[in-house]
Amino acid sequence: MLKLCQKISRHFKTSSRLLNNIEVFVDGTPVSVAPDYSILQACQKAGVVVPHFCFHERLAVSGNCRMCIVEIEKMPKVMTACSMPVSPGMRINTKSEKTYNARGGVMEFLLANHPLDCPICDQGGECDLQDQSALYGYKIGRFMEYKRAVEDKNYGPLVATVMTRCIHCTRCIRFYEEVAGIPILGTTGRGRETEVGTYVEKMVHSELSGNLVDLCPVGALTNAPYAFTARPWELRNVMSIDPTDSITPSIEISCKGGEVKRVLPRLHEEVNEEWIHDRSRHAFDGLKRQRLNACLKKKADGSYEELTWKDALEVLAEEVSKTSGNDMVGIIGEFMDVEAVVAFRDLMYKLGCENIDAKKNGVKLSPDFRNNYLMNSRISGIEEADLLLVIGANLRLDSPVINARVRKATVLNGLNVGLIGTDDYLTYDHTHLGTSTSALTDLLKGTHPFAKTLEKAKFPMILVGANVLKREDGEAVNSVIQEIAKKYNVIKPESNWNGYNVLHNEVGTVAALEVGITSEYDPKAKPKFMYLLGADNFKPDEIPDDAFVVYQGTHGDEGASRANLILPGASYVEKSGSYVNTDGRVSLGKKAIPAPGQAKADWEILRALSEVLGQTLPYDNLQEIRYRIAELAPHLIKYDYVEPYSLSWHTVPVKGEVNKTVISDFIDNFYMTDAISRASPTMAKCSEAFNPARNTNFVPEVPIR
Amino acid sequence: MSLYFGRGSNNITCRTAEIYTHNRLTPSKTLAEAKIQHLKFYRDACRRMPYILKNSSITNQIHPTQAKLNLATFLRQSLFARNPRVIDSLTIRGYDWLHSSIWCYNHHHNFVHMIMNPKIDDRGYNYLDDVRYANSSSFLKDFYSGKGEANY
Ligand code: SF4
Repeated sequence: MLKLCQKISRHFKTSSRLLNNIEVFVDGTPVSVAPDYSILQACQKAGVVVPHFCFHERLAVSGNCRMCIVEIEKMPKVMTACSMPVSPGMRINTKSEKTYNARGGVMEFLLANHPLDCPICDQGGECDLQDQSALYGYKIGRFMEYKRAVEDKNYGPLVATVMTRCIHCTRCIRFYEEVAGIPILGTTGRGRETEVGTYVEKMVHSELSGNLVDLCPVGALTNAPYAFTARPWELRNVMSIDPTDSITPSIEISCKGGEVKRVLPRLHEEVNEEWIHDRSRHAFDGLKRQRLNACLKKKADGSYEELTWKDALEVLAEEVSKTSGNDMVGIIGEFMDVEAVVAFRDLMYKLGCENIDAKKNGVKLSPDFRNNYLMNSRISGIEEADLLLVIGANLRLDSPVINARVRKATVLNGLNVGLIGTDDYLTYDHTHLGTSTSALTDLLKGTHPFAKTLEKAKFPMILVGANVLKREDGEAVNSVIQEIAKKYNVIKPESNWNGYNVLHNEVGTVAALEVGITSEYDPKAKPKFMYLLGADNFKPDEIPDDAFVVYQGTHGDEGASRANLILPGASYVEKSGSYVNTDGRVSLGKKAIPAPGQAKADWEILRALSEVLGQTLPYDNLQEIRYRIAELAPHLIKYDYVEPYSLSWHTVPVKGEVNKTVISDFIDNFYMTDAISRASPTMAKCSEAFNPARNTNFVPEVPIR
Repeated sequence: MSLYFGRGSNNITCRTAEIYTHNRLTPSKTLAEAKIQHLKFYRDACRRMPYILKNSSITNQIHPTQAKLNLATFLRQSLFARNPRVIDSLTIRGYDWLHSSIWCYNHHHNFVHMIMNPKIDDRGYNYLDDVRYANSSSFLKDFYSGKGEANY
């Protein structure tokens, strides 16, 4: 029993006061709530809607919009529900005449300076102010004076501002301060002259800036690339996930006709809470440009010839039949779904090829045990840990959503963060232990000053960036890290805690590991035939000049430019597929729009090719291929679920020496990391705006201040 | 509804007899002209589809949108025609059908094959597919021809 208590103790807060609920009355109905609840939360629990603008579940309470006022018995005046805690026996009245009048009055004041431009405002139809003024506002306006006008601010190319519409809820200010960790916004002036912005004119910039648009309750901050392209009631929304981020955040894809118009985050407490980063949100317009929409064959003069599927597959089959399995190499791309990976694996094995995903810059991990390559303490584990050691990942660029969670944990739980690798402003305080691998060896020896802190930690977490494991000495570095994990008790099966985590940056790699694909890159091998399954981020020297290269994918990027034969594939919004994130969570991506031109889902292409080769794969539709996936790994068809696995530890024996080189900054430009974002005009604008010195070859006429 | 959209008709809800006055139905000189007349007929028919369905009491059997799509499928069967006079004759036949449907002459017979369940065949092309994709499984046939069901 004692053991069990120890095991579960960290799931509960210790304060006994929190355990005693108190009773309050909302409109006469008794509800029992925790004593740290606000009146607004109590009302929500009672199922009573209280209108509000400035209150947001994930931000601090500010209580400045005054919209949530309610009447409380025995109190002379109405009170703001969001900032007032409940007390025992409190009687809250949300439907009294006093409340109605007060709400109407607040609404009148809010609208006094809010422009009446709903017909030309992008927020129209999904605007909190519009909805609430229709419900709670007076029917007639009495304000005949001129309205004020406010100058617009520069929030970068992703957020369009019409600051005249701002109602000073300060959500954007609090978001930047608390979630993004960049305290750059604030209010200036008082009363009618209040303005939200930077005090000294400056561009506002964060990797999470797109979330401002969702937070702003009015049309002051709107989605700039989406401006004036659709109204919310015209959109068809598909609930999907985004595989371009390795945590596969839940997203909502809004389409009109056959086109994606915008991407919004969905709530998923264990993955992305409520945020997605700007590349997830805005890079989708790369799916309309540089797309491959027909089968192409490179001719001798370097030009391309368009082929039908039948001809293309026959050309490919002829080429495959000339090559033996040992001379083939298959490379799996960044955003590959499990279906495609399984079909690829089955086909290549049938052809006698064992070299799948054997690449020079591949992640050197063994697929034998899931705890060797997944994020074992889960993304939500960040909030339980008391120490986080990040190795070789700049979290702010590698995974801004995880970074926001780490920031939250540093502020709320006092999480202690150490970093080995390139130091940067991570939006929270952290200790920089060193830039090279020697910091790791020092930690292992116990000579590093941080070793003591690591020793004392109760629930330490080590987060290894996948890029470290892609180094030439990746295996050796990994075994040093595992030794550290062993030495400092990072894995505690008795407390159900495994603090060794790998932060992948490609879902394709996780999918490959999940279905047990492993192979060694042989630098001496000279493959004659290479199949690039959506792979764009490879090293050119991995492909011999005389090899026949097939690229099956979405964009005319690195892969296609080297290919002899190009097969158009469907992107993640154009096919249904399952993806595994760095947590080991399997999530389902949904088809939102049809694929352009001849493009087909990747597993369908592989299935068709297998038949032309006379090695027919035994599945004809998604359901059948998912049965096949279940044969290989039954947990891959349990969606939105992390299959529990053994926490007992299997270390990898050391191979080779750790070379003491610097763990470099791997992401050069956050806005362009893959084929989709490289083709995206919005991301190009961001690169130019946020990274001018690095991303332009031209000396600006007017110097950038 | 009084006599076909009543007196307050406008360019959208014009009177039936105007079908003939607005569309002169003179013999077309070029293919483009003929095609445009044919398209105009299709748009006229679509515009009147809710009325036709209501008048024939089949609103519970088919939705106007589906009826429009079925009509389009039916008309596409004659897409192969390249002779303007042939297309003109199809257009005139269409207007005859539209007129009689609206005035409730002999319309039910027409609906059965035009709006309710047009018989779609591949006009001989399926035979071509059979030869071209011989020895292929049904998956591969669908893959090549793009006819397969979408996988969700
Ligand atoms: S810009 Fe929007 S989010 Fe920011 S204070 Fe104004 S209304 Fe609130």
